[in-house]
Amino acid sequence: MEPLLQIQTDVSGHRMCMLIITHACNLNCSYCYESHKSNKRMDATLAKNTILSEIALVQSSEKFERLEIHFIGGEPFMNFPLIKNIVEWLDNLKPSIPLIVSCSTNGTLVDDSNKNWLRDHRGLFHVILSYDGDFKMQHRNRHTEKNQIDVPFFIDTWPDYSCHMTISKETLPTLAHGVLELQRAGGTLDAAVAQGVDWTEEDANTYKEQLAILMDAYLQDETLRPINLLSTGLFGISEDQQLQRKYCGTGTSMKTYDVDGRAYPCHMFSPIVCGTEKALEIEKSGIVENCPITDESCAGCNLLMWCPTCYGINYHFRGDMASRDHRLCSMIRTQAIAACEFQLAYYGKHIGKLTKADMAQLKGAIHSYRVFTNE
Amino acid sequence: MQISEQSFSELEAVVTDYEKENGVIDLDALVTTNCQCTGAHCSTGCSGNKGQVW
Repeated sequence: MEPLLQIQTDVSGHRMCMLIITHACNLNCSYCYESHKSNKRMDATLAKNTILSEIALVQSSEKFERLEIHFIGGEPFMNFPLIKNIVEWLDNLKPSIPLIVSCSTNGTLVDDSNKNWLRDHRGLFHVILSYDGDFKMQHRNRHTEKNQIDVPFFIDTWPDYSCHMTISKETLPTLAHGVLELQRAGGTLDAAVAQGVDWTEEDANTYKEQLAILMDAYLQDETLRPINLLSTGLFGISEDQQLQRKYCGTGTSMKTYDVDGRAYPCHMFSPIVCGTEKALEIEKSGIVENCPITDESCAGCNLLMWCPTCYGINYHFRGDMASRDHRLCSMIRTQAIAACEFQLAYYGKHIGKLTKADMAQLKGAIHSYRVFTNE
Repeated sequence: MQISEQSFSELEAVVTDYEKENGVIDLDALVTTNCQCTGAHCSTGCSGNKGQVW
């Protein structure tokens, strides 16, 4: 039986290899953090050699069991010939380890010239559409009014995970409408608030209202799968926390290769985001599992271990991997409380159908609720 | 959204009964420490996932 709520869990043994296959992009999204775009691109020989070394690493490793090759840009489809070359090559190579290839795209370059090929290779190649809600929201964030994006194609071809939505200040007031429109069209999506944005208390109130609309929709219509904003696991919320755990695999189980083959802990520390000089500086300094990751000003916060953080964004905007953007605090807290209340109501409604994973999720929500009510 | 005390107590009882039969659920073990979803290139810690692709 499938869990009622889909939560993200750590996947053990997962090696993430990101290839920056182009620095070029055909859009200029309002929240883009890549400020060093250019026409540089990776060539196929370098990509293949890099992938072969990653396969060998996983094959000989006790730590890794599977490999994900993730194409990244810029807009990866600006280098579609390389994507096609690599996916077909891997399809024939059939390495002896579990392997998938994935990429995110703005969808503007997926058209009749490549749709058949994408359908034929969807077992190996998983594409996620980065799409910000409805047509108007997409236009506000991405200025794509002239582009035709075939959203149903992504939903039909990759039904398990079709779209990722970035919530900007401009699209926040219509968040629920955008999410529900995509979900009612059959899309499976997740969403996250944009980083580097001047979020205010007023925005947090708007966020609360929008999440309340989504909660009502999911409680009334069981065919809709609650979005990650509300279904996220509430683990690690407790009183008076002092230390944060390392959140992601940057520098440990993740590696990003730039167009020239140089490796970085993840793309956030690579030249397309940081510029070459800064990227090389951080590469020399090294990021290891025990790097300082706790923002001291967060000590005592009940959400410290739960609150997502991006070391790359922290470094890029504030010059310190631990230093979080405190303009996000109210937004994150609003989301945590909404998720907690939603999960208690949702599980209360479906109490006879809970799986093992749901029980853990429910326990997390109960524990978090106590913490929130004692604040 | 308000949760009534009665509803909350009922949910607590469900988890307690489950743990009596199946053992205590360790919430600390479920804290995310190795997120690699890269949801649309990540940078956001979005807790996304790619579904059942494996």
